[in-house]
Amino acid sequence: MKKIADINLLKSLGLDALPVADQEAMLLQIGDVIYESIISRVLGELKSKEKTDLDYMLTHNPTPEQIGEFMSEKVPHIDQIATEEIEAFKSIALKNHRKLVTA
Amino acid sequence: MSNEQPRKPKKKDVHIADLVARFDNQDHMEEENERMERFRKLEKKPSKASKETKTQEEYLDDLGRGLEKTKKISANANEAIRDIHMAFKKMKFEDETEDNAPIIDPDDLEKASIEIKEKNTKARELFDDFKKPINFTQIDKAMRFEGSRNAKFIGNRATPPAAEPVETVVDEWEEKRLGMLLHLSDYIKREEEYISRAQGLIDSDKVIGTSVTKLEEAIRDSKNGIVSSARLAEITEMDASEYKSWLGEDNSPKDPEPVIEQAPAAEPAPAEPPPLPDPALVEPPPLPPPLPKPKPQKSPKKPVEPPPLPVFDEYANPNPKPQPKKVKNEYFDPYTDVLNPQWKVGGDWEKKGEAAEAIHKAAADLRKNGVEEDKVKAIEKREEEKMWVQEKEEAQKMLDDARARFVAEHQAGEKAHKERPRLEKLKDMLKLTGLRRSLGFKVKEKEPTNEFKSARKEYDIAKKRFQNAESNLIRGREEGKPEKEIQAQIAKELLLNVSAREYSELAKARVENLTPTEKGSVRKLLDRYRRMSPGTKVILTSTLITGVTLVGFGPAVAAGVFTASVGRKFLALGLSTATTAATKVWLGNKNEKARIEKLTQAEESYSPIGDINTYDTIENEAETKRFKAALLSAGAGAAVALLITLTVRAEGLDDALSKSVTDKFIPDEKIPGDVMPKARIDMRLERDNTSDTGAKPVFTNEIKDFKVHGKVVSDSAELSLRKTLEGNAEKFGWKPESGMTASKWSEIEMDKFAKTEEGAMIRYAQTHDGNRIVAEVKPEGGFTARVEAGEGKMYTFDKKFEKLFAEKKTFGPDVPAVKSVAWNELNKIPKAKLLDTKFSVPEIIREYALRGKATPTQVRAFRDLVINKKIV
Repeated sequence: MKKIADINLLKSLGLDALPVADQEAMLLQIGDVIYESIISRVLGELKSKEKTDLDYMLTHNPTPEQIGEFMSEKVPHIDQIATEEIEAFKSIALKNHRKLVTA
Repeated sequence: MSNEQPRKPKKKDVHIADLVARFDNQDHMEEENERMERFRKLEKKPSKASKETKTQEEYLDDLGRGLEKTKKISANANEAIRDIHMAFKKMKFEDETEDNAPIIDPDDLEKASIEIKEKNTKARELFDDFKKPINFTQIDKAMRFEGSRNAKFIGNRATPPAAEPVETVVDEWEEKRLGMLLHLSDYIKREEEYISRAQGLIDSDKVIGTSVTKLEEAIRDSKNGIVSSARLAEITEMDASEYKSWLGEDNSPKDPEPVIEQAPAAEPAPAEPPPLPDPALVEPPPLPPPLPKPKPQKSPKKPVEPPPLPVFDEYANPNPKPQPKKVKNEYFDPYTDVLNPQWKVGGDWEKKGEAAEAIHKAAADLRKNGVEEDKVKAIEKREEEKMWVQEKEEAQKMLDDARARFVAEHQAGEKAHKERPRLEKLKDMLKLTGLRRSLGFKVKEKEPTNEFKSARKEYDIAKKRFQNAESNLIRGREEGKPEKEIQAQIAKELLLNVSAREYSELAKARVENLTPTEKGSVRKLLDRYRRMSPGTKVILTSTLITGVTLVGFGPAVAAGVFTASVGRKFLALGLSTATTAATKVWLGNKNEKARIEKLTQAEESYSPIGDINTYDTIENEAETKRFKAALLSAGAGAAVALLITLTVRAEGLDDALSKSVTDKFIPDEKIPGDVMPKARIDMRLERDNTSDTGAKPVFTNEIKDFKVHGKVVSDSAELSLRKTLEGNAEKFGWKPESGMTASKWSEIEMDKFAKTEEGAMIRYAQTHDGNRIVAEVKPEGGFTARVEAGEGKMYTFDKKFEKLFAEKKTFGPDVPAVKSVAWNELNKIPKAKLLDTKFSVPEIIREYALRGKATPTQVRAFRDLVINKKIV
């Protein structure tokens, strides 16, 4: 069975038939949601002191690379978290689509 | 194999074994038959003899036991049906992504399937037995007088049923059961009335002696009948009083006629009316009138809420414990297990319900009053839309409420799981669930709570209602559009309003316990993300959710872009997954070492571009220009970064990104040497943000300087050409005396040459910047048209190969003649295809960097080459 990570959601849901502008608008909304979720989970993985450090860093306009280094060091499985969140989103979307559209 | 050890039965097997054993258990049946036989004997004997051997109480006790036994059998059958139903549902094999994946493994499913099929016939017999011939005359008799008759009814075995799907039989059975309950309720009403009247006679002192005794016996009989009815109602797992209250004053449940029709002689209880008092002793009082003949039940005018019935839940425990009664749900019709018809109005656009009918009726009135058809239709459509908008609002509210409850229950479940006792945690550890899951085995999840199941069910219903409203609204608005597009619109709305919100709410619930500082960090990180340009976010998100595929782009472009440049930025934001995946796609399934080498090479080639921050600098046009200038000075190293800009701009990509993200990046430049002879008709397209497609055709028969324009969608290009033909129809051969309008003529010409050629050169060329169509009148009549590519490219059609070629064009006074392609030759092109770009990938990249933008050919070539793994 195809892994959920390999599923192209746009095609699976038939969204590729939408005008491209609509696809983009939709992707922007979805991106916000997924990204927020990833951040929330990553924050949940940090220890108390690390959270304080991060907050301090964020108030001093860090570069993306600095944030990246910090995250990679403190949350080594950040990839796994991102993957899980993306899969969770896809899973919900596919399940609802199957129940509501293709049922 | 002889040395194979018998497999130790799993817990699932035990479930299946239970299921099978339940059907194998014939004890109930044998006992039931014995009891029936006993009753038959009693029936045959004179009543006197009967009274000698059994008292009335014993008799009734016997009846009670018999009924209890029957109740068990029916409950058993009911449970069996539920299990079969559940098993069959599971056999449909839910997607693995389902939250609650099937408990039974595929292997076990196969075994279960065989076993269930083997026992299916028995199961059918069992419950068909029960649902079978509901003869109301018999019921009346049985209810009215003696348990033997009652038992006879119950024991009346059915003929073997036809082979029907289990689900169908279950539905029929449910329907008949409801019919039977209806009748029982009716019966109870009548008996109560009878008792009241008989008691009235006794109290009036109009009867004396044995007449009183007989009336009292009759009353007792009636009371016994009521008790029996109640017991029968229990058999069907319903409470008669509830059923009565559900019936209300004037409502009756759904359509029991089929059941009534099965018993044409439905005259109730003709036998043994209460004996009259002795006329010799007293003047006979007026007897109660004969009981009314039960009328066939009419379908209810308004849908009524039936009492809750067992819901077949595929996630239910195979051996369910007694469940608490379900709360009535105004949105859910448990009888049909579908949406309540009240708001299923028009669920199918062609089968409109009451509200839609009212609209049509009003429309019909308007027509009768002579209102024009167009106006009526417009009103009709408007009103229908209003109806669905209202329905959608209500559905949205219901959906929000249901989602909130679902999320709350979900969170409660997660919390309970986290806070489970240490002993349970230890057990879970011993089960090695994590390891088993990581190895790809399915691990049975703990059974969700009833509250969660209830919330989930309600949420499912709310989603369905919302989908129904949304679908109808979209179908009404998009009438006439291709089904695929309509489906896509519906899918989009559901994705955003249902799935994305569900996901979002679940995620938010998780972080509710964050401290203010933590929440502040989340907000700051989100702000950084939100400050990115829309184009970058589109690239990011589409990469994430499409399995590394950009909208309209090949995966390799996305991968390359991500790997070399943007990915680094997103890595910094905690999204290296996208980069990793992109790298894998881009570099193929090479071993780790090779991939690292390749990646290193790529990173060296696409070195960072200094202070230029890709996603910060393409926010506005001024920044874009600055960015481009910086890139020009940066040289080839900036190529991929520029590619990002270009791809976001969607310049030159077939049906790829359109204007929405890119409007502000459209340059306004002239192409040198682009002056055409005056004999030509020049058609060009300019961007107009107010139009639907973003493209507004501009027609002129004068030659002007040629601008580089944004991408134009195909339909606009076609429209433009048609307008050009129409405006110059006489030049191209239209004869006014032909009786055809110029508009019609141009439409026919388009059909002849352009529309039949999806992807053919004319369409192909028109959809790119800088290209244009040049049409010329031929001396012998008709016209020819050719494509002149802007931006130093031109397309030629080789008849020999029937292919379209692109050539590099040099600028200067000696511009080579453009090879023409006649309109009618376009028909011979199966599909436009570029055979030779004369560019290597590095050259293309250099082109990007040095020229500040790419031609369509370059972009396409780059994409094709990378996809085909020709990259060096």
